[in-house]
Amino acid sequence: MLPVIRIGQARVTAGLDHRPRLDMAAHRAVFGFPPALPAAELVGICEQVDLRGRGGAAFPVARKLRAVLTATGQGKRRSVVVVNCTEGEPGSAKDKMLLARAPHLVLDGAMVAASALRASEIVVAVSGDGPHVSSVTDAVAADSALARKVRVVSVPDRFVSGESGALINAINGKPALPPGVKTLASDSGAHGMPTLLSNAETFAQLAVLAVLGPAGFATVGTAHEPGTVMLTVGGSVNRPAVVEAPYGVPLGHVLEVCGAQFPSAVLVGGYHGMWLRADVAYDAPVSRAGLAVAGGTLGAGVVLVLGQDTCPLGEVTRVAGYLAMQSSGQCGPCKLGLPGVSRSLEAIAVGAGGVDELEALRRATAGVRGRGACSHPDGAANFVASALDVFAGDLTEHMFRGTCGRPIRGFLPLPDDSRDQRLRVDWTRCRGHGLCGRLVPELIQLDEHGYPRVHQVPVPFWLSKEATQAVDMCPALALSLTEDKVKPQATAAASTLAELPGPGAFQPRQQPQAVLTGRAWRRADLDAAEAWLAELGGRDLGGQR
Amino acid sequence: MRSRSRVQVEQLGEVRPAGRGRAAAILAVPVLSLLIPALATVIASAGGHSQLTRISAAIARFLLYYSGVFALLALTAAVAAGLLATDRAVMSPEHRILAQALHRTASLIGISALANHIMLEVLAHRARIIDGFVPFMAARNTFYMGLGTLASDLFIVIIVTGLLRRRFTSRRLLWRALHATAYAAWPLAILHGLLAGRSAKPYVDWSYGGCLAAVGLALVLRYAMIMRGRNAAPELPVPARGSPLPANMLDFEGAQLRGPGLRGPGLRGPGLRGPARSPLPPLPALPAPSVLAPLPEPRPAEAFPPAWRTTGEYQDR
Repeated sequence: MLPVIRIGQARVTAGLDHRPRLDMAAHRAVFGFPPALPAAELVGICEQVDLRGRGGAAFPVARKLRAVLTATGQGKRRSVVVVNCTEGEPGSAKDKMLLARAPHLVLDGAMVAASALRASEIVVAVSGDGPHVSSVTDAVAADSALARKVRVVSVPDRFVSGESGALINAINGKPALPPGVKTLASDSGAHGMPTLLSNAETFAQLAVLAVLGPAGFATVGTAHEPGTVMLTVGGSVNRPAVVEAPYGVPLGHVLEVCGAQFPSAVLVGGYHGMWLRADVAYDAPVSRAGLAVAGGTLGAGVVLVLGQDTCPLGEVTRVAGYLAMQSSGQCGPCKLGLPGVSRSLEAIAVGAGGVDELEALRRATAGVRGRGACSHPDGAANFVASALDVFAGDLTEHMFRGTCGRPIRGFLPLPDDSRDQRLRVDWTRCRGHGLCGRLVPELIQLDEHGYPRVHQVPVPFWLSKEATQAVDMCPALALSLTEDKVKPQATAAASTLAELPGPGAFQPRQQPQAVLTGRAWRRADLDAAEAWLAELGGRDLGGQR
Repeated sequence: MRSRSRVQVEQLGEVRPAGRGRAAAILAVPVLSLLIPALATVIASAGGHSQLTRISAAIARFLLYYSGVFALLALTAAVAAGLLATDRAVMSPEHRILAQALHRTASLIGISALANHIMLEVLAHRARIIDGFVPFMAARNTFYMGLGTLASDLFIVIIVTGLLRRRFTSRRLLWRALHATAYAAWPLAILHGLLAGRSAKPYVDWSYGGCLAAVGLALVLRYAMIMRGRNAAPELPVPARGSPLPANMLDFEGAQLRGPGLRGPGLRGPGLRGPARSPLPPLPALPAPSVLAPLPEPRPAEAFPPAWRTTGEYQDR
């Protein structure tokens, strides 16, 4: 579990510097009892502080609440509150941290919303295994009022499982895949009832807001975006951590606190987010408006730092391959387009692709936008397109030299896939019959000699049938599905740098439970930063999104 | 010790892997082909004069008469399709995939009809159970009955190893040898079909003879192709000699190639092939990123709000 670092005032992380986990008693000692707010008042205070969903889309909570209230006839019919803690993003840990260490705060927020909406049920959706699951079940079991109302469900740990439509599908007993026909959760969600769905941090912030009131809530943060935000800072930093910081703090300060050293670029918003040049990233305030002006996005608060000693293109290629295989395989442009993007990147990264490959890459990236049931293709396209801009120099180097001379250290976090099955060719047997290229074009393309170029990614569930068929039909018995992970190609130039410190050098040191920084940010400072950015962007930041 | 949580975590949203129904559909063919005639025989032998009994008797009689023929026809198709699927000269990869699918389907139907044939022969007391599996044990017509049993055993081995083909990637030659016994089993099955039972009509004799000849010819052709393929030099595109870069990289706007190392005499001359090549000159950067907002001029330190000067503030306790 990542350590927690706090900059400025304590909000959702209050009390975590004393306890590894706030049980019921400790939680009540820190936060007290949240007041029971009537629906109109809850909508009012959410609107006053412009509370937004913290899962990435930043949808105003007040509008969600209002939509559910309208659909239920002001609470006359039943509704459901869904706490989304699936957090499919590999770089994000804030929701898991909250459930593991402050579960009662999240549940308090859900209860505040549920009692205002007169919701009949609260569904807490988690994914994977870990302390967060047992922590939330223990927390629910510790309170009889919660135990009557809360249901904990676990969905498969995949990138798109946490998409709201996919999650609603899962709760309704269907496969956790994004639906093709969009219905608003607030109209017809879990069990067909109006549903308030937001992520775990949103409910924690809602609880804090209910306790502090809008005036108390807005004593930190900027004028347009009051309060604090939870970030997950990772990559090549000495202290990867979940950080609570007031809106408006310069990202550079957060990165310094987490021990980033001379980054070459910073990824904001996770794998659906965008790359920023290090100098831009250091100056940008941590706020939706600030990062948008800098050319990034706050998203779910994932900040990943890329150091100088790793090959940026190789890192981006790894993630692009992961994103391609995290498609749920439903929409053609995504399931065929993203592997194409990943393949082109791979070819350029190893020097096998020229300018035409770059052209193909740009076309493929642009071609997937807006053409899927969920925003996965768009997010992946943002990620790749911004990488092409920020790493333009490395791109040129790779195209002409085949390497930038740096090894791929794997600083960008990805789930462990070494046990997953991959397609593998026995080159001594392959005779270029080409049947495999016809059967799984997503994973195998034929080169100009007719021999397969196999995409070295785990075979996703939606391609297992085709991949098996390709293995069965290989006339030379050269293709197989194995668990062996094929090492990325090491270039001669890269191997000479092998003595550089590996990822182990960036292992976090033993940390106290929570680290506090001495800085108390004054409102005037944070607003000044926003004003400077407003001038820079030449537009009104309050109206962002 | 913590008490066990009373709250259960429900596992939801699992996506069922595709193709699970396929195995069931495949298994259903042999199972049904055994069940239906067995049921028909049982009902027919129970006697009576109902409509059902008459229909069952007709089905049982028909299958007893023809299931062996069906097995032979389907296995003939399987051998032909399998042979066709290996061809590279005429068939495109798409057609070869189709031929393989046909090969598998025909084998499935063939083995189902074969099982049906053996079962009905046993139920009709024209053979014992042991005759279905051990060759040359039959009381009468021993030789030709034995040929059928031998062919059947071989086909069973071939189809079981065919289903387990994936496991044989490390013993490819063994699998090939086992699978090639089909070319022995199939003529045996034809001999059995023509000579073990009722005497065949002349056109049947001619047809099977034609099939044997065609497959024999195709086999010779296949062998010849393999030999030629092994001895022929691979068709490789001629690389651009002396150029270290693929040709498609060299027409990149010219701007990227301005350095002397790339444009100079070294490009085609011995310079680039020689061992001591000067390192490539630094490449000019691509055009400025487009999505980024224009960057501000660097600001003097005092332009920062005092709170932004963050050095030395961090305390690690």
